Amino acid sequence: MTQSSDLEPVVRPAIPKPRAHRSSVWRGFFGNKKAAFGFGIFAVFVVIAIFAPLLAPYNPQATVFTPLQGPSWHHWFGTTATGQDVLSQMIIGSRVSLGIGISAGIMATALAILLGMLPAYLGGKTDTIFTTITNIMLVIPGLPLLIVITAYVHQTDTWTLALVLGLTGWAWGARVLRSQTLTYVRRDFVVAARLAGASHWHILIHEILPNMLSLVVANLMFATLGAVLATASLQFLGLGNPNSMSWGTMLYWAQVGQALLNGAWWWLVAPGAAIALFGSSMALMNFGVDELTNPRLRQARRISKEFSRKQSRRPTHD
Amino acid sequence: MKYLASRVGFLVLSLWAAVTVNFVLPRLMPGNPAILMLGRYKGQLTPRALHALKLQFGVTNTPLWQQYWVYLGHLLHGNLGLSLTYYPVPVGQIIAQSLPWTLGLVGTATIISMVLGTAVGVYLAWNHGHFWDNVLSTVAMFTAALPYFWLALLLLYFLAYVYHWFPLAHAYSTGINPTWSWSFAFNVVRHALLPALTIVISSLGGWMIGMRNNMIQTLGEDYITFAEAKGVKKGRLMFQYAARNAILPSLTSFAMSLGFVVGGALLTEVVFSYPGVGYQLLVAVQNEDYPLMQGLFLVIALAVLLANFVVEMLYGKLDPRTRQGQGGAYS
Amino acid sequence: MTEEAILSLENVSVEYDSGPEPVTVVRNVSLDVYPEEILGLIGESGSGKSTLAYTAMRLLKNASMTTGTVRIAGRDIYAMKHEELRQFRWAQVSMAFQTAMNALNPVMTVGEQILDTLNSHQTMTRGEAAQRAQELLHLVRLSSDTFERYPHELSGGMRQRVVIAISIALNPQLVIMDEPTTGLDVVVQRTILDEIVEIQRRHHFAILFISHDFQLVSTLAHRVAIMYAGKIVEVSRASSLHDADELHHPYTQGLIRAVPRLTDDEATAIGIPGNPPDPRDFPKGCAYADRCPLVQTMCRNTLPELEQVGSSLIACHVVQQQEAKTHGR
Repeated sequence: MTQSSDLEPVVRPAIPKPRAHRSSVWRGFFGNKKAAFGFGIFAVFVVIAIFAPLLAPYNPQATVFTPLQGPSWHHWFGTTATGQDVLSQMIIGSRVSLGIGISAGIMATALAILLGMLPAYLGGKTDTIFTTITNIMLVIPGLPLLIVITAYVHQTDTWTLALVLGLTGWAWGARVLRSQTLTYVRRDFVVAARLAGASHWHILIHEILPNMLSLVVANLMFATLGAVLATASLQFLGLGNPNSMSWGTMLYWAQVGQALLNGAWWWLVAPGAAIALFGSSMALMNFGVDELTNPRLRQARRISKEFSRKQSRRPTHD
Repeated sequence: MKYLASRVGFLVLSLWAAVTVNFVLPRLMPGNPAILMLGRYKGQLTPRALHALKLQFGVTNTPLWQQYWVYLGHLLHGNLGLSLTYYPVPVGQIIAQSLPWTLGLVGTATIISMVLGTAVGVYLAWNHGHFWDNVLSTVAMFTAALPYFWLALLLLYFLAYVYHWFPLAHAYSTGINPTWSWSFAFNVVRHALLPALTIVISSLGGWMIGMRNNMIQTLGEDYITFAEAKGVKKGRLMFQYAARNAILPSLTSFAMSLGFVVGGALLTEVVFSYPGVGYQLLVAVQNEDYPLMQGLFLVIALAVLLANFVVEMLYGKLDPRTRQGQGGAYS
Repeated sequence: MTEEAILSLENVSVEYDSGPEPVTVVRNVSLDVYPEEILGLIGESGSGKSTLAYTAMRLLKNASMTTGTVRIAGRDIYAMKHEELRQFRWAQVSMAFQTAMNALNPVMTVGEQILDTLNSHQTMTRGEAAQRAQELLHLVRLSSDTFERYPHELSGGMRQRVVIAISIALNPQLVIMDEPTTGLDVVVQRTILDEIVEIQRRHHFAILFISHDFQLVSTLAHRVAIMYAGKIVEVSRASSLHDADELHHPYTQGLIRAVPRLTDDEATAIGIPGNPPDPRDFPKGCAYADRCPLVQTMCRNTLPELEQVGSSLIACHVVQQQEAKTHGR
């Protein structure tokens, strides 16, 4: 049983780098219905936030309209108890809500990359210690912790809130990225780079990280979703700065202004729906990236009943 | 045994971390927030209570490690200080009154949601790519992004305020006395339905998608094809071969995301004025009642960590690979 | 051969349809396996040999059979209802999977997994089933306490034995073995192969032995089928593969030359230069043309089909012409 009688290709390729071509990654992303749809929603929100002052029909602070009007042609989403236009508040409020969510998401993801990849790469005691810290961060209930922190800080301003969310939201991503890094550390292309004398940072950033890009992106969505929901919760409880304009503080004022007892459902529905819609766009993109990285999630199962002699060929997309 | 020891070790370690975070936070904040609180409550407290508060929040010249020892000692004796909102009721007593409501509501709703979500996830994975899989996995994207409290508000408005199908607030009708009777139990269940529904709707999608994806992953394994080939019947293939394995990674993420879910569920209590720990936590925060807030945070953390421990134990039961010391050839 | 085949593949083509465009991996393959024979199926990875095995068992995932018929003991298994197939399949034809590491359910004991096989097909009392399970373990030389073990507690060789025990549990007429010894060390491989042959002799089942190891298969099998780029290019008696005077497909010739000759002073082995074609873009003519030393224009234009050449079936224009000339047709 000698190797030479094996039928493996005679010409062996050089050490394979499992790096996907960048443009094909993008094509895959937009070829995925869920991801593309999620990105569409996200893009609309970003455009609204950027051009908010131009798009808002009225001054969101101005208390000049009849209070508690239902949705109408002049006020698509009605007015508040103090006679402010809900739509204008939503449009202007998107800036703070998206700003906190996205910046906290980016910060949490950056920390997750650092605290997930580095210990996994270095291994040994460092890894044990950091993994334990990550696991502890994961199991300590996040929202109650945030409530306690923001209660001590008093009327947390926007950027403090983003900072706190970023600093507490990295653990899940770190866990995922760590286990993925572990699968790469002993691969041939990493070992080869190490033998060739590349520095640790070079290997981490240029050899390993590019392979985990989709995981990083998925984590960015997930962390942003978490931050958006947590921001809304804290602001709803009055723990943010209630005078800044955001979807969460709108809900706070709606609650304080007894929107429900007054039957002003629009005051609550509009900002909440914006949060849910923006969050869904993150969840959809996250799920789409999941499907891209995990081919099994994409394929329709053909076990048992689905065997047909003539194949029912599925459309090539999705 | 080794597994049990490592899980107990982790439980102790994470508990210690929660306790220490609780101790460090107020001392870490710029301009100790406790001083503000003390100023606010100065006139209303006895000098002894004031002194105890100063010790508890580090407004003192005692060395830090000594404060820490005193703090740990108090915790061991179950002494969480006095609540300022409900002065002079001990924090421990408030927790004892609110915790059962939370365990009943949030605990039950979370378990229902987990079981239901997992079952639906198994079904969707089995019918991967079919109508219901496409519909429900997309719907789950939206429910996963719903803020709990917002859904709670909507349900409250439409189902309780506009149509009077459910009571508006509280754990039982004001004006009736808690007794061990069927009518009271019925009253409690009626009040718990809407908040429970909120928690189930908001968290179901997460469990469902998690189990679905794990199950799809498992269905691609060779042992499933092998079992199918050897003629194992559908039901047994689906549960004993596929779901039994798919639930293992799910359990780990269950354990990990329990903290998130419980946090969101606590906000539901706020909306329904449900007298559990979440509602009390808001009361404490709004009144700057730091002793109560600290005590509640600890109790929430304890509950989540214990639940996590139970899930880990269950994992150990379900996965033979964690059971060691049976003297197998390669164990 | 006059005997009726146990497994009969007729014009089978298989497409994978999970990628952006369907990929044909098996092209118009016909093959019969007869009772009690060992038929070796040789091909390099990607030649479609494993896919062919899964097609024969109706176990394809993300792929479908686009043309052809598969008959087991004379019955078209693709015409069967699901429940009928479930009961019929393993009792007639079973399969030892390539990756024994992953073929066993990690959360069930070995015993439960053997019992599952028995109980899914026969009504046995608990005692009878347990006894049969022990018999099977004994047959593959595993101790009786293996019954209580979980897969992770067993070595690779032991797991492969369990898989073999499960595949012969119902006394099938044919066992398909898809690279049954991949991933095991050489000594264990040899022992397991010897055991397989021994059990096969005593229990009179046929084996379709799939491997990329030409030398191994040519010594183990009675007949050998050689697969290249989704097609079977030659079916011969195994003994003819050692006979340099016999006519063979150029690819087979290449494989024979690639086996080191230890009779000479120094071992010489000649590899086959080049790579098999991309399955997304098979040439119009013979898929081997680019690597073939005998290639002619017709090879690139028309696809050769299997034809009787001497005692073999060979799909090669050049060899077929040679044969025609010598017999003065």
